[in-house]
Amino acid sequence: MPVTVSHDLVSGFISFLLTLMILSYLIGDNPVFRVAVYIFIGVSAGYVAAVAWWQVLYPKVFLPLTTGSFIERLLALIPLILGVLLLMKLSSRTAWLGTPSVAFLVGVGAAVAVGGAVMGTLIPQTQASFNVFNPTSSGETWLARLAYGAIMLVGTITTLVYFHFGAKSTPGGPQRSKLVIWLGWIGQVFIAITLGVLFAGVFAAALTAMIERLNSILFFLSTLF
Amino acid sequence: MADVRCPMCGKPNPEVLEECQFCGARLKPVLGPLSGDSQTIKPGEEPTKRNTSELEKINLSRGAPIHPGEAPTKKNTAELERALPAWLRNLREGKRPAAGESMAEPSAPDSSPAVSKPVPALDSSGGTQDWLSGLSKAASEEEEVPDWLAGLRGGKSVESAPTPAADEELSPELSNADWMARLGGEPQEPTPEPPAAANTPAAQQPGSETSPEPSGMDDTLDWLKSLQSEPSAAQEPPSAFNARLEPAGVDDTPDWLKSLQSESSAAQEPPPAFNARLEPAGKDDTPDWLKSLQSESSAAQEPAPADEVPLEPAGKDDTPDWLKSMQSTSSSVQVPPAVEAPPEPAGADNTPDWLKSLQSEPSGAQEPPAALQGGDNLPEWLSGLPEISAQNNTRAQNENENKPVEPAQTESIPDWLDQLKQKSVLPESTAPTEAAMPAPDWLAGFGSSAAQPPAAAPAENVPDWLSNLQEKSTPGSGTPAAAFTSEPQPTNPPGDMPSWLSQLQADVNNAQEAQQHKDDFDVVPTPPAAPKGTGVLPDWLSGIEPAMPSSGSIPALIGDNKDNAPGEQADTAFSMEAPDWLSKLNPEQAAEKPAQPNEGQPEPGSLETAELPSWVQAMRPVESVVEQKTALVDESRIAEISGPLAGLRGVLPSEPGLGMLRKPPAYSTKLQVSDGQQRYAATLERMIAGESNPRIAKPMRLPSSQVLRWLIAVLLILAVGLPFVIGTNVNGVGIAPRTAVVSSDQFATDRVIDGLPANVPVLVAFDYDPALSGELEAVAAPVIDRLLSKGNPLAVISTSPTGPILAEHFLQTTPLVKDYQYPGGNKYINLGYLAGGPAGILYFADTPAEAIPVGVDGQPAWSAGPLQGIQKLSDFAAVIILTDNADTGRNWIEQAGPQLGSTPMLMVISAQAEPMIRPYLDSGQLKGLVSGLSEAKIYEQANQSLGPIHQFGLDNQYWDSFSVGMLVAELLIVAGVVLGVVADWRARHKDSGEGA
Repeated sequence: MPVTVSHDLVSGFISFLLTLMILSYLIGDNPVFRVAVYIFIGVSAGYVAAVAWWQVLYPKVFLPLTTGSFIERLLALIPLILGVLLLMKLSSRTAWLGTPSVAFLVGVGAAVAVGGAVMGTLIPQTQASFNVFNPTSSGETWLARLAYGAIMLVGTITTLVYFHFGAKSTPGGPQRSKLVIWLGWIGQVFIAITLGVLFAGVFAAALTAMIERLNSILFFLSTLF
Repeated sequence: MADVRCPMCGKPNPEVLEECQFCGARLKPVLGPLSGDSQTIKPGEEPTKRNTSELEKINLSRGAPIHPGEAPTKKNTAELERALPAWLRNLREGKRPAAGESMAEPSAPDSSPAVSKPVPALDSSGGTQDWLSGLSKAASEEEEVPDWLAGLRGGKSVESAPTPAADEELSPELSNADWMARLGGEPQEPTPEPPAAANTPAAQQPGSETSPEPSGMDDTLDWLKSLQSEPSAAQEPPSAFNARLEPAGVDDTPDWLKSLQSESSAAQEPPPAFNARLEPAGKDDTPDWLKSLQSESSAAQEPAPADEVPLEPAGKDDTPDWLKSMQSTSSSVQVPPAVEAPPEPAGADNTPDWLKSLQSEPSGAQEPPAALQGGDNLPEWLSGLPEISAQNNTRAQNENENKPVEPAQTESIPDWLDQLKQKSVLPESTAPTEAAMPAPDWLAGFGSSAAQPPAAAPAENVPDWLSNLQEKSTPGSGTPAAAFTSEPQPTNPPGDMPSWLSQLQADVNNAQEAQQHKDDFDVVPTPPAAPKGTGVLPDWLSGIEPAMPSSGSIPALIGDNKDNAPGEQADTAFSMEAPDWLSKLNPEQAAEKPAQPNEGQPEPGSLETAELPSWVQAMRPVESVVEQKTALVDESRIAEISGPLAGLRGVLPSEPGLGMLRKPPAYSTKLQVSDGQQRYAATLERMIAGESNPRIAKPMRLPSSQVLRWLIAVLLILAVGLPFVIGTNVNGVGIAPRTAVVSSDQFATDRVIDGLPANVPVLVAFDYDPALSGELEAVAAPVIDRLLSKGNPLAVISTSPTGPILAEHFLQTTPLVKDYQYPGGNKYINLGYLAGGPAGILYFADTPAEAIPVGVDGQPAWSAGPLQGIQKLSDFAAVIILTDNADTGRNWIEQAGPQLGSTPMLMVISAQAEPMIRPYLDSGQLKGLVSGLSEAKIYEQANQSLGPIHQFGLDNQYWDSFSVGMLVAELLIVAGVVLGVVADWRARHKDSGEGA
């Protein structure tokens, strides 16, 4: 009976092998782990390059230049020039030629980021903080909102106080006031809780990923046997 | 007995003492309290002037030159009383010349009875005429003012009547000015001289001879006008000086002038010479009584308007004002050529400027011979007096008709001058005898004195310095006598000119050059309106070659000094330095001076080469003094270089032993540091020492971490893999119970998805990395399952390059999702990778079709298929973001959120991004959120309504493993905390045991 090698088997085997190679990190940094990492980085880079070509450069630069109208060609020439100039950063002697492209990227990126932060995060979040203490707002009960708002307010204030490093000059040297120290300690508790939550989220995400890998390995093994 | 003020302690000491009886300081080096010290230095006063006077006074005792910083020697000026001029002494003693002797008699014989008896009027006023009587008391006074000033004041304060001026004398600031006020006020009498106002030019006022108040005097000060009006009311020819003495009713008139006015009105016999002192004194050091000479003569003989007769700005030079006044007087005097001595060109070089100026006047102003007739042989400076104004020659002649004609010489020349003439045996014929001119009383006094036998009152009526001159000139025509004669005197050779005169010449020249810009004080050499009756220049003046032409530049001290306020005048007067010549001269010294043999001869030695007066020396350039100082100063004495004794030598004892005898205090060389500084230093020392000491690395226990790593790995693997091994997660039995917790987020997401319109494409962004694809696929599966159950087409996009392939993998391989068999291009379109990050999201949010025109397959995505009709982001039914990165989710919220409009945005995120994304759900920017496997499991349970199979997806498979794994993790955390506490406790206990 000829053994038929299915696509799922091959892909399952590769994934099983690479997973074991990564899990080999339990014994420390080893070549198997590095090989797996290198394969992952190489494949990712190649895939990204293919994606960039096929989904960015070709349809948005070369295709207009070759098949587009005169206006489209002129408009496509701008990113082409900027892109070529950006490649000049590869050489130190011609790195200055890539400065305009970098400046364009940084400027546009900064402007977009700042504008989005102000309009999408700062103002809405500030308004949301106010609404926490709005008794007429719908949602939880008034007491629950008050408790939630109080915790948020205390956490916010004490966290900010914790990062206040101002101190008065005393004969014994710079010393923070007791109030600042006390509030900073409370803020430190909130910070610890926040970090704990972040760690829990990361652990939960990693645990889920591990479960998926174990499920994949067990599935592969179950497929073999 | 005069007291000498100790320069150290300031206490008075008897003059005989050489050391201060209070502090023991030496008194001799400092010959006495500086008269100038008491005088307030006024603004504009040059300090060098004072210093030079101090030098002079200090060194004069030993003939040393003047040194800067030295003060004049305090002298018993009471002894100088005899040295005063006779006219001054007459005034002081209240003597009035006899009717026949008075020069003022012919001036106003009948019109003013006060003129005939001026002395009683003065006496009745408290002896105001005895303004010099205080000189005898000067030695006993300890005032800081100059002795001669102090004497004047003292005498006045004792004897003067309580006149307004006397009231002002009480003011300490005005103490120095009061003497001038008294000098000018006490003898203020309605001068018989009726010249036109001194401020009125005769040329402009032809009728000034008869009208005391010439028209056109608009610019004349009111008080001057009032002063002019009074003499006219007193039936006396108004003189310019009288006019000045009548400041009644004038607000801007100085008080001292008012007092003078009152006194003059009471006395009705003001000698013009002293009346002139009431003139606004410039900011100079010139004594007003000397200025009066100038003002009188200039006003009388040159009645120029005030604005046209500028006063000499003598405040900026050292030239004595009395000399300048004489200059101006002589400049204005029109000396008849016949009487005036011929110019002496040879002597012009050595002739002092003031003498030159006197000589220049005749040349500068041609006076008709008639002036000689009316002016008698009076000196110009006397003829310039109001009483003998040249404009009233006719009146003078008329007066002479009513009065016995007396020899003009005896009438117009002061007695002391007359005596000088008599002693000098000068031919009187040289002085033209004319009818008695209206002369002031003080001139009359001169005449009376002259009428007296010369031998009778040489010591009283004649100043000592003049008497000395007489004595010197007597043997052989002394120079002073010759100078006072009207004979033409030959030019004095330069060698014969006294040094003090030659120095004065230089000083005057320098001062005049520096003050030529002050035209307001210059005398306009306009000829008098009428021939002066006193055009005869004294011999001692006429015999001097004019050194300077009489021009307008020659300053005159009279005139309407509009520029100087009364207060300034007073200040100037106060700040005036005492005429040291008064303190310098004394009978003894004068007697000791050898008389000059050339008496009455215009020989070079005619002028006495007397000792330079101190006040003259004070005006000499300092450089000249310094040159001599280097040769004369006793080097053995130590000169003080600082403090109030700066410039003085030998003031402080320089002998050793008198200085600091006690042992100098021993100062500790130990550095004075505070406790804080010591603490800082100690800390720094420890830090430096710690750097030099080698650190001992503590051995770290690493094996435990490796064991723990393996232990934790094994536990987690077993916890996660055990459910798969036993198969509990397959059948749904599950180790962990089905969660009964209902999340509010789950309901929100359900409501959003359930509320989506059918057949409207939903944009799904697969923005997660392959590393977390297992989590995201498990979390997103129930959501996408529910979404696909509604049949809405999907538009897949990703800001991650791996996103498009992960999207394909999710849609094709994920349980429950793959069951829908969504065909690509029909039910969903993979738009591929969206480059640009936030900018790309913003670009796509604005114009989705332009941002990604084609799909992954290269086909146009927006022209056909499910995305047909989608022009903007809000055209999508919903936007669902699948991401494991909080930043990526925030970018979508920030950039695409404002473009969504009413389109809901949902997020299916990893558990690690939940803390950062949940605030956007709370703020309402996200309409639904599913984060992590736990919420996905809840959402999956809710999909039970879709069918029984829809509740057993990946979440159900993973749930037991996830629950067990989380439990193990929690246990490990707890175990780790316990182990940590125990390890810490053990470490502390161990440390404490080692420490004990």
